[in-house]
Amino acid sequence: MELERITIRELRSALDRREIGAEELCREYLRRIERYDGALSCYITVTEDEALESARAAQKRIDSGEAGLLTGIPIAIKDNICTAGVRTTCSSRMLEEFIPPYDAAVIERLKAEGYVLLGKASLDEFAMGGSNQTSAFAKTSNPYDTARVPGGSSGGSAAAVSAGLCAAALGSDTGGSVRQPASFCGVTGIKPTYGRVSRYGLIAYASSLDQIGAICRDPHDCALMMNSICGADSRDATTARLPVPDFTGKLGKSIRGMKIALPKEFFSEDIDGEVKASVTAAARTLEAQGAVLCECSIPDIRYAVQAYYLIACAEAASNLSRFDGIKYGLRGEGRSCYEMVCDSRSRGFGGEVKRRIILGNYALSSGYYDAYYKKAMALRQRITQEYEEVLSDAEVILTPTAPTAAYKKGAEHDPVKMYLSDICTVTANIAGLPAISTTCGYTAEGMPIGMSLTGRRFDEQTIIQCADAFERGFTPVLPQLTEVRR
Amino acid sequence: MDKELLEHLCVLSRFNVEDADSLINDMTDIIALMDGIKDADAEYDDGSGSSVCFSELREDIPALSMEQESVTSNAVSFEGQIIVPKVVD
Repeated sequence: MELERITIRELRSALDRREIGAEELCREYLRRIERYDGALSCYITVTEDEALESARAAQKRIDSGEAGLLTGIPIAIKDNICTAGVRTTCSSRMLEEFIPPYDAAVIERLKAEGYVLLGKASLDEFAMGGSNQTSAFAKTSNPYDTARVPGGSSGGSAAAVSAGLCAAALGSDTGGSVRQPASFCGVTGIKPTYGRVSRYGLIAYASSLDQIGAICRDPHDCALMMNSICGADSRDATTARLPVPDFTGKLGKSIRGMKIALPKEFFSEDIDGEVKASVTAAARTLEAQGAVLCECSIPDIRYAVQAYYLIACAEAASNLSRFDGIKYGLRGEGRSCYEMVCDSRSRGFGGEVKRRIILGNYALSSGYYDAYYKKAMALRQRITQEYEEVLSDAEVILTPTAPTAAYKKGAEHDPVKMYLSDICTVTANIAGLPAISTTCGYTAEGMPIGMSLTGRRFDEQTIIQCADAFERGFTPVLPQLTEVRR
Repeated sequence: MDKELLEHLCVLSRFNVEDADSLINDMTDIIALMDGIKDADAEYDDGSGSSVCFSELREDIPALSMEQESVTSNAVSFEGQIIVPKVVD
């Protein structure tokens, strides 16, 4: 069984036909993790015992004819999603020993399906970054070239799917953290509409932007994962009380007549030439299938990175104030409570987290609030309106997922450069729209290139349909892995 | 950003001031980037609603959620209550 290319639906079929047992399948994945994760560092924690126990329970369910969609399917979970009894670190010294006493809502849903938790995947510390190199524990490498970053912040999740170290993974996406690593690692990642998936149990970074998403081998598998994780939850008042459709519903249907907008701002000289050529070629492929391409403009894109970082960091400054070393988390020392809190936070957080908290407090401070935070909120409204205008005509917006393919490790030390590289993804979070990234080509050096399809609010079906229509005629190139034992 | 402002922000953020020069350099560059929005001609419209939609809030019905033992299981110092250094002298 070629785990590096197999899909969830193929595994479902193999399990249901008894071609492989759930425990045997789980052991296959655990062996691959043991064999390859030494070079990749996708996982912070591998939950071998829990995985095998879940696999045995899954087999009983399969044997009794009561298998759900994900029964026995081995999945990795980003390590900022709470898993009861399993360490959840957020890749931070602050939460190095934190064992959640409860499951996130998405974990409850996956457990109800009988999934198998293989382990907790690495991320940039507190999901702040696009390289996975700010992790305090596992600085993940790209399976296509271990000298390069896997992207982030869900870099561990994306690299694990890419390398066949899990069948699928959950990530979280605040400004592109599912889509950009999916693009860098040659897999498919979906950020659902804000409100589609409960954030209960997702350790908060920026609450008005955070959304849990799925990283899978292809768009069809993303639809299956979405079928499992979406829906209203009374514990997250921002989840939408809307019926959840079958996200596979439009798969295989013709895209003839589908209007796809290409914003000219995303095809400027700031975008790498190979990326632009690959995404443009993908647009032509969709056109050849009957889609109607049109150029559009979203002028306030030029303020998107600033608006995003000011809002996200302001929310982060508030959300991360809970980490004071008192009730849980790393506890520092000090003669007074104030000194202890400062010491806990100074030792517990890494450099990027500190920079973002400081920026957030700066933007919220008296004298700066109107010029930064309020202006950012005004731009959020404007960018949202501009997207709504484009999507009142077009059904999908097509852009590159990132300005470049995966870059060499080391470049992440320039924060400004890193922030600017988020330009292609942050707007979907600002506007709360669904977006999917899928592979559309490779650079001359063999690194994957991703394209993003952004859709109307709560219309994930159409972007999945469109991505799937492209992928059906696309032949992916798999990474050549180096064996380094974990 | 100067050292005085950094120290003020570190107080707000509950951080010790460490590697001040390096942090000042980073924050100066980051704020220079953020200054790019100052030339945007945009006013926040209070009337257009929140960017986040809240669905109907649930009834506030008291119910057992988690046992105290599990909630406090991650506390570093717990002896029937969470122990912290003296707050008031």
